[in-house]
Amino acid sequence: MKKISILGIFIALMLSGCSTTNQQIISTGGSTSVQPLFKEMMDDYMSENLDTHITYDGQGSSAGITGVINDKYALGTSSRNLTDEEKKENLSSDVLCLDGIVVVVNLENPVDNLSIDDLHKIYTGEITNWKELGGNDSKISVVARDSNAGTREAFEEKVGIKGKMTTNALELSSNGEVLGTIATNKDAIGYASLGEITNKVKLLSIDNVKPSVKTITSGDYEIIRPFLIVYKKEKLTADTKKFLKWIDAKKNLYAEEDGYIPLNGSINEK
Amino acid sequence: MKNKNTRIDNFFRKFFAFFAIMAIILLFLITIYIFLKGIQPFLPNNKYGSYNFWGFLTGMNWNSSNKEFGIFYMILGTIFSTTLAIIIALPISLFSVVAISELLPESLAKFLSSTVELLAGIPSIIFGIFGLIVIVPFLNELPINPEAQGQSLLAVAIVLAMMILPTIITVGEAAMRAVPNSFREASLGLGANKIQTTFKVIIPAAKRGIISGIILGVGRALGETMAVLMVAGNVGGGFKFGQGNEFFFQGIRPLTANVGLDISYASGIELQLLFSTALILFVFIFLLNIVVQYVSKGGKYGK
Repeated sequence: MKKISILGIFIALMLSGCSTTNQQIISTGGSTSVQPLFKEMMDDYMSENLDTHITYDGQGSSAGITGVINDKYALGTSSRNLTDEEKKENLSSDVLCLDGIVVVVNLENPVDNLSIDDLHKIYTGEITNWKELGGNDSKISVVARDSNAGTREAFEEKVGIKGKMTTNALELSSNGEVLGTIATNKDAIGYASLGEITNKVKLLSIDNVKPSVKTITSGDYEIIRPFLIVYKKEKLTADTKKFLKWIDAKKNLYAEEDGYIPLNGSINEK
Repeated sequence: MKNKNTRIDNFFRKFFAFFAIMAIILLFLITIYIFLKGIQPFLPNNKYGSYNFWGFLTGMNWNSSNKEFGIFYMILGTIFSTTLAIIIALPISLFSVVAISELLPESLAKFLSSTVELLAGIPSIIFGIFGLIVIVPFLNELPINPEAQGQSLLAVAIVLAMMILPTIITVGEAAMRAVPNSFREASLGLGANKIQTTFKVIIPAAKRGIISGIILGVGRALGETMAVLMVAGNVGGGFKFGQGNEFFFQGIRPLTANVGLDISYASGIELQLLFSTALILFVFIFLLNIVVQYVSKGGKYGK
């Protein structure tokens, strides 16, 4: 009898845990690159609006956009521009901020500057030794991201190596893994998001322009990509609209704080 | 009274049989699902266009921008990394099985075997991290490494060897312990020493069990994803034979890594072909299991 009453209490507790208050749930998801910035914003939004609960599913840009098309997410994020096929789906997209994709090497590497053409040759396997670029006489370890990563798509587009990458390149599953590999391998070269760079790797200048918030804002540094929020305008609920409005008001503040490049004025890409 | 008991027995027989059948149904559902998903991209009426099955099976490049999806180099990577892992793990595990079950005093043997079981319980992501921060940089610094990085076939083999050690040791130890003491006594009585007894009598008698352990280890190595993904390099194509150390130090992309790397990102025909990759892996493991059944069926002390 005692056991049964304890069981009863447990069940009662479990049920009370399930009881739904009138919380609104906004499901979002997409790019792993946008995730840190977006999560910070949604956490702050949730603490201001206790009646709203937002979830984020970090599955990658393509998954984010597909999720919006399939109505899985109310909002999707992407760290690359929409492809022509995706543009046909009647999606709206807002630019959250700009992000620079920077090329990094090990701290011991003497090379400081590469041209876009050098990058092209390294990533297509035409140049395989640092000696040819004024570095040490050692093989280059080419590090890239997995084939559907937004960072890789944006990088390949800017450097013009889509589909031409050397098959010797390592394909790692996150920017963090790329940075970790570069930090421990003196012959490695890779790319990552400007906001994620640590002092354990060396930033390279591209065509003599050092990547920074300043050079990206001025337009001198060219390997950049937008962070987008994607949604279907006709499917927005009142809560989602409120959240979008909040993002629009605060995005420059957050972007600046986290090392991304805010856009002046809100640009609406259709 | 008897009648009532029979009824209760009958009820519970059905009750438990239901749960036993559930496992079979689950296996059946997974098989059907993987099979149907896996053959989809090769069917002529596929909505993303049909992909040539032969080209998929024999292709040496996986390049989604060029819509080129070949997995032969991954099959080679999986086969060679698993083989190498077994070659590394076999002597270590065989000797520790001998030590634990035959040579060491009971208390020390117990301690060792529970340590081995602890090793078996370590999640694969931990092995992956260990591989990434210890083994990969170590291999990278080796002077005999002709490549500029440590992510390689050898790194995968070492990590896999660590992971399958406990499987081989635990199963092997059980097999050795199952050999009746009369075998040992007879051999010792004939004047053989302990080492002779172990290697000439006990190991041959426990051979089937040890081989089952090795095959189970192969199964684990074939299916391991997370740890492998972190140290393989996941290159986009090609496989180098011969050419000195290049073979061991080349980056590879095992079948599991291919699925694990892209499944959350991919779309369209690439996503479908990831299921096909899983199907090929499934076939590998299925065949292996048939071998296990065949080997372990032949009686306890078979030749």
